[in-house]
Amino acid sequence: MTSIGPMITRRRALLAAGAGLTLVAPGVRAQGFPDRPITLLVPFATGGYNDRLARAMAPFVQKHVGQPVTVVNRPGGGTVLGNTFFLQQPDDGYMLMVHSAGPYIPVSILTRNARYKADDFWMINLPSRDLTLMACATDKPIRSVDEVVASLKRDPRSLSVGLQPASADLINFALFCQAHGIDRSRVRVVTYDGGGPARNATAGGVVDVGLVGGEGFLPIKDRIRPLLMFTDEKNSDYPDVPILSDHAKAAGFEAAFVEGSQRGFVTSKRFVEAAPDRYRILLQAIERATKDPECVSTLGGQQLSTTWYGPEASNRAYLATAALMERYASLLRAS
Amino acid sequence: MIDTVAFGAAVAMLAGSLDAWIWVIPGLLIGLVFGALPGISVSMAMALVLPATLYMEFLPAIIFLTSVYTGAGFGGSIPAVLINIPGTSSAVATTFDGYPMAWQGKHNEALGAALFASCIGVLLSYVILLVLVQPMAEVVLRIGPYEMAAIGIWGMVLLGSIGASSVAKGLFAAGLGVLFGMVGMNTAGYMRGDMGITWLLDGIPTIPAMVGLLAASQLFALVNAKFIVEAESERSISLRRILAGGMLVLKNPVTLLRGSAIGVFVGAVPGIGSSIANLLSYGETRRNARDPESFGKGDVRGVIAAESANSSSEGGSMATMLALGIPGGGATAILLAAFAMHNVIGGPRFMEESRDVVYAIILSNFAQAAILVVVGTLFVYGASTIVRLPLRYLIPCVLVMSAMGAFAIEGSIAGPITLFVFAVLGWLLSRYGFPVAAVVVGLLLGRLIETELLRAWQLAGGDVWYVLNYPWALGILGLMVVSLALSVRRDLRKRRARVARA
Amino acid sequence: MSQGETRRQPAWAELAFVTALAAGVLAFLVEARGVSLDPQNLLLLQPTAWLVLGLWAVLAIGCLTRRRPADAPPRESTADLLRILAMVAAFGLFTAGLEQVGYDIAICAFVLVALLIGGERHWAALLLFPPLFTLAVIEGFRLLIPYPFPTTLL
Repeated sequence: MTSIGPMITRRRALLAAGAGLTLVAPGVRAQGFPDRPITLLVPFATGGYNDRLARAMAPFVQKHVGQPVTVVNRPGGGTVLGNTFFLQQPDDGYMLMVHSAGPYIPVSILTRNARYKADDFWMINLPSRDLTLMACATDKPIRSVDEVVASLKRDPRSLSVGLQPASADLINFALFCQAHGIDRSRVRVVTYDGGGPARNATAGGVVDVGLVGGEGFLPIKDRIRPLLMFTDEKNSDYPDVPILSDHAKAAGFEAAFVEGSQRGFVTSKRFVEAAPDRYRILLQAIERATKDPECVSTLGGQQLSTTWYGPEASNRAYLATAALMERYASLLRAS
Repeated sequence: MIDTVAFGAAVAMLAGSLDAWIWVIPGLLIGLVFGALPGISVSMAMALVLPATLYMEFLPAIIFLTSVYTGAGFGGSIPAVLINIPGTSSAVATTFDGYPMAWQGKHNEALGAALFASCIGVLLSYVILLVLVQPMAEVVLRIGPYEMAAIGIWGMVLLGSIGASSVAKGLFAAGLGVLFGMVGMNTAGYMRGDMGITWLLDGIPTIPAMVGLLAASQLFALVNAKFIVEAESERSISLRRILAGGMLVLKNPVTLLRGSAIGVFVGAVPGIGSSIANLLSYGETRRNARDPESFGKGDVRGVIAAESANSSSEGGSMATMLALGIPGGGATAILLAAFAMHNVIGGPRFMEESRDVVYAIILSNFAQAAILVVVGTLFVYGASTIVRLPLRYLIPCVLVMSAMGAFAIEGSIAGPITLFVFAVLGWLLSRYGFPVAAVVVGLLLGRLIETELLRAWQLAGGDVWYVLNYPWALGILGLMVVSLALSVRRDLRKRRARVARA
Repeated sequence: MSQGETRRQPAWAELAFVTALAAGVLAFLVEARGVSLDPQNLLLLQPTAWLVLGLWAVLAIGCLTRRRPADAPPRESTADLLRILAMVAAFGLFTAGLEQVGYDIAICAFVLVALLIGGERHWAALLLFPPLFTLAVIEGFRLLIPYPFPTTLL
């Protein structure tokens, strides 16, 4: 409790100082950066993966950047509110985002008419990658993905499918149907607003098959039968589950899929271009924090990911998702 | 179904650890304060104390968090009774009779009844949890859109015309509420009614709208009054009368048990379970009463029904969390995060391997319910001083606190704006004789009913007869029709008898 | 007159209010139909909107044919109504001002004005209470919530 008071006071000092700083001429040198606290902005409410990741990483980033690091939430509008707020801040490096950048940023652009562009954002590192998992409840008669295909090919109405609208999972399902020549418009698709409800419906057998991010299924692994993982390399969480690239090879089509969630540290491209020195300092601190053995073990215990991909690989993965999303934009919009 | 060896180990674990106990009272108090402030939710309170638990042992940490949960569950009913503000969406029905009681100077009794009903509700729900944790979790997981839609419709039928002076006005208000509930993006991804405002895509913020409709509108109408309680002699704060209110709970065991049963099973449904349970229990109690017209005018049974249901939903949502590792709502999501922080993963395996810890958590909650009676009584005693404040001070203070609470929900100005718009709307509605409560019920249930009906429609693929595959849903609807028919017949008989007498 | 104690007096204000609400509902329906005619969009929305619009007709007729006893007392005095409207206006300005002038100044000003509307005339209370209350609220909420809010002085 007591730690929160000073946190917000500091944060306010930061805002006030930030306002003052914009008056300083551009081309601020990195000298002495950072000399005040850094804020991690989470565009979701408390308690979700990004919030937990930000709060768990904060002490380690603090250790390596030499300034206090605090977490602020700004949820709403499918992250549009948080993203817009973030882009309005001065490019001084005192605020970073912890975000499910893919797919939320591209989806918000395509379905919520957000005014920013996908490449206004710059990925520092996206350690957490979640993949779409096709699964059914253990008491369903479905044994394998081939049975799903056969059943849907015979009669698209034979199975109900639970997923989230405007999600990577929906795109993956659409691509899957297309490849198998299944008429998706006739499949009984049941929509859930959130991964949790979609998983519950799958595990409870309310829907026959569910397509949701696989990570969230881990605590109830015993209650579901994983059928197919939408990826091209074996996943350590689900080592025995068939993967899409093998399935596609056997069925004779080219595997195409979108990564479910890409979460991690995000900043704006404008900042990277305006203050490369500061960016380098932050990048280094986050890299060191991510690789800090203490951080790896602490976050590992909380089922949070600490893989270091670096900005290059992270941006590539993010922009690839954004491009695929744009290509299938018509699938994302309900109307 | 109780593993006696593990049970014994659990008792030993609690008896041998002072750490497990010292956090209960602070936890309850934090919960009470957060719960009593409108807009600050249980899950926010728990999220904020979560970092502090990192350095505790596993069991004390979980006990601390569940104490906050228990305290906040009751805290919401204090402003509901005293100033008509439901501190959370699951205290809406508490305002229906609690506030009229306060208005009549029976605030002591109302708060006492609410407190005892809550404590006993928590206790009963954990008893059921102790015995039935696994089967309960199974039932909850299997509840699908058909069953939920049936429950939602049942609530709407019971409460749709609550407090109306005429059927047309009641239905008009309820319909408005349902339409408000449908603003924004629906579960299939269609966006309508957002008027180009980004935050409206998530729907109208429920709590600010509710507080605006129920409380702020009321405060405008009170500008010309001096005190909430008109008679000075009734403005007393009396421990004896609080306890007397508590005794009233014991005199209405059926209401209490019905509320708890509804709370445990409906409240366990992930998501909005506890607010629906709160409304359903109130509605059922009113319908079953011999004198339904006394409800809404300060009937203590309304308070008991509402409070026993919303607090017993805590046990229900703990069941899904412990047995399945599925968070039913924000609060249990935080608990799971706390589990993870101590490298414990909730779910079936945890239930099997650490049965003693599970029992210790449940037993500690028995103790928390008992301690809440004492802590809560003292807290209520302090909080009741509100009725002594002159309204000229109370009105601005409560309006400011409501606005700040509305802001606190998502940290956005959307909350205060919604609060203001709905306060004006609520004031106008009650000025022209429309039941504001029906709008609130519509707002709460409308979104639920739309979401679930939509999923039911998707599951059926547009086939109307598909519903025949869901006997439970049909059963709920059948029961509803039968019980409604019975009460209509009873009303008709009563009216005929009255006419005959006249 | 043959009407006895009651006389016909249409409730114009109520009629205007109900009509405004119904117009809002109609606009919502038209907009939603513009988004999509798919049942997944209109499943519950359209029937509810039609129900409300139908009820509007019933209520409007009720308003037009309203009779009230000739000796019925007026609902409230004009002064009372003006005080309520002043409070509504003050609260509206307060809401609008939160982000503009900062939460501290908005709260302090609103509490002062509301005390005046409520009839507090004691100068010491007017001078001391608003700033003290503001201080308590601002500091309290800073402690309680994880979101920043703009303030000017505090």
